Amino acid sequence: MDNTLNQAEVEKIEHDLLNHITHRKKVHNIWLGFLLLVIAIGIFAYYRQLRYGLIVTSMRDYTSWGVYISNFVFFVAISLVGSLVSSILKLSKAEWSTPLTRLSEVIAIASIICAAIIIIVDMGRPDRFINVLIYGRIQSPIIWDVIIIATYLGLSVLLLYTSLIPDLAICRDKLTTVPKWQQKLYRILAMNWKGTPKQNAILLQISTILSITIIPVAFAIHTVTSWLFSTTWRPGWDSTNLGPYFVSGALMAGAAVIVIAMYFLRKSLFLKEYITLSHFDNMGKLLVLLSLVYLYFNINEYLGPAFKMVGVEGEHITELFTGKYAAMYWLVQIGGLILPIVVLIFKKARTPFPLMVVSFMVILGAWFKRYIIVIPSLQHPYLPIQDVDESYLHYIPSWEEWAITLASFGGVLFIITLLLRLFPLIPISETIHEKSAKNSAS
Amino acid sequence: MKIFVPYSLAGLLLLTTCLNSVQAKEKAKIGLSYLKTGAEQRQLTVEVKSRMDNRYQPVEGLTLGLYLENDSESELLGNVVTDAKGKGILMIPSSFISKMNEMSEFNFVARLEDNDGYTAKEKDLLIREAFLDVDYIIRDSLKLIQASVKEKDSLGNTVLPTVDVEIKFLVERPFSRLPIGGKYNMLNKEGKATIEFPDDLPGDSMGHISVVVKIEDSDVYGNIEKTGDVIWGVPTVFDDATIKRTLWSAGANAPYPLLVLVNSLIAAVWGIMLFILIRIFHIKKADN
Repeated sequence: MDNTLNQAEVEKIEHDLLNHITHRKKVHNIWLGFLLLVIAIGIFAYYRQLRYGLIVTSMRDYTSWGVYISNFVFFVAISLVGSLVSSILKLSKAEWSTPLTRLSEVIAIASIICAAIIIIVDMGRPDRFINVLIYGRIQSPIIWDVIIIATYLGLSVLLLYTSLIPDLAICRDKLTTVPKWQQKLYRILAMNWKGTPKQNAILLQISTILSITIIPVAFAIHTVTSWLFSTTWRPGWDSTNLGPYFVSGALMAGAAVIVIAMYFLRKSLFLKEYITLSHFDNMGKLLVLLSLVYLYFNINEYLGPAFKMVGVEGEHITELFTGKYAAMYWLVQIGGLILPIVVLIFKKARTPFPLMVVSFMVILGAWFKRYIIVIPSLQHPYLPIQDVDESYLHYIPSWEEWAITLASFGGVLFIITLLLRLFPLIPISETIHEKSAKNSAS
Repeated sequence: MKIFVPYSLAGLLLLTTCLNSVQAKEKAKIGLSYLKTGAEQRQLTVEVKSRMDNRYQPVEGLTLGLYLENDSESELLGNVVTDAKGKGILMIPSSFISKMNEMSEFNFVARLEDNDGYTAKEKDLLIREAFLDVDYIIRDSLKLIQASVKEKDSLGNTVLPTVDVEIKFLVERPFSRLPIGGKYNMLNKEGKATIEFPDDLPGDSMGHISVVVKIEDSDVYGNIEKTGDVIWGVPTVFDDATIKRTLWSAGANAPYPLLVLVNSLIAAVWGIMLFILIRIFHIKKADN
């Protein structure tokens, strides 16, 4: 450990950043209880879906991918935040992002777990999921998606764990008042960490390899997800632009999620000294940059088909621009994309509360964007069924679908909350190291 | 009066219970059909449905007796139990076949006895015996299929041609039977119908084709069917496209470049993860 910080300063940092583990508030338990209630309602709805079949949903032969799949795409998008902050910003030496790395890794793991679960929920016969692994065709993008999700989850867990090791050693040494099982957990997971030069060298090697490896895998996970659509013959999906369009949208949504998490955790865990105004300012700028990239791909995505207005593709565009999905479409494009860019150009908007509100708009826009990517396309097949049943032409999710969707959000927040109850939110060791380096530099 | 009231209530309760038990019984709708595929092979099929949720639905697990009746006696051919589709099939036992061969008409009865769930019901089916013969003829390079149908007169003494009955000619295909010949093929006054076999039908690798000639759902004769095999098809050269390594073939036939690419990527990334795990254990050992 660097000696440029005195013992009292080090202890203060450790105390500040471990405080939320040792001092649990009643409100945190109420929050967990609330999440469990939301999850329980979702489980009941899923029980009904298993008992009576997918008929309890509003999905029919046309809209066979409903709110579950749009939610899955949203969670996959959010999971990209882990690679954005922990790898891209870290490798580009953006040291200001250090307090946000763990938060982004935790969000990535929670959302990818729930994305995997929601795919199984979407299956009419989940007991047959094992057949996907046994008899899956390697030619199918669905199999690629299964492989890449498992790989990304494995890498994300490793990324979180390896960055945690020095902090786990601090937890092992300092948190002597926590329950025995928790102490044992820290002892086992800390891997005899003592900060020896050899241990530091191995950890540096591991973190560098992981930071580099996770970037192509992260890009692949959302690109492969986009291929699920682009390899299916439907209007709106028949596009070579879909891969980068999905990835850029995911990075934007991920950045917005980080801002919202920063805002609430900074307040509730008293971390104003560590998550500062400059973090919000930087994240605001990053959000503008990512939104501009996403806007570029949006223009690419819609301009061509809207200019040509060919056949069913034209019908699809008309439905989005002026039809029954127009309100949602324009709210998403203006409220969730253009307005945030315009607003966040101003420095005052890049302060915590306005930035949180704008990020919330971005997230809302991102979720509904997935909805309008999935649903309207399915309602305009190239080969429509003759005398099709009226119910196939509309899709309004049933209460079971909404309950399960909300439960999946509850699941993400539950996993995040649980991990943050056990582990430090801000990397302690790195914070001490960086503050020491700053002190010695000045 | 004091005694009258409780007794009246008890009586009313008993009456309601009885009425409920009577109302709870369902009425079954029975269908009965006959199929003859050879002199020794005849079968009866029953189909039972009942009105539930405003539509007729198959009834499973009902036992029905199938009888052969004439003016003086009723003989039990056998019992059938309906399956999930409400159907039950009885192959007529050989002990009855010789007797039936001497008759010109059969009166079959399917009988459902009164039980806890359904009221008694029966359905009868009167069938006149007919004999179907099929000849496969090659004449002037034309391939012809000729069906002849005969029946006994009502006394069972003389054999007469069956006339003005529709007869179907079909060939077996992988998923269903393909009709051949004209749209309607009627038996002429000699009891015969002839069709020309198409010369462009694919057969197996040797050109074998299975032909089915049948009288279907006739009110008088029921179903009569005869199957034959001819080598009149175009020999099919087996198309091995489905076993070629393509993007759209089965998983076992994935293209090699794709297999190499995907497996290399998986091996590379999971190899790195394995390396990381090993290095994590090295951290444990490097504590001094």
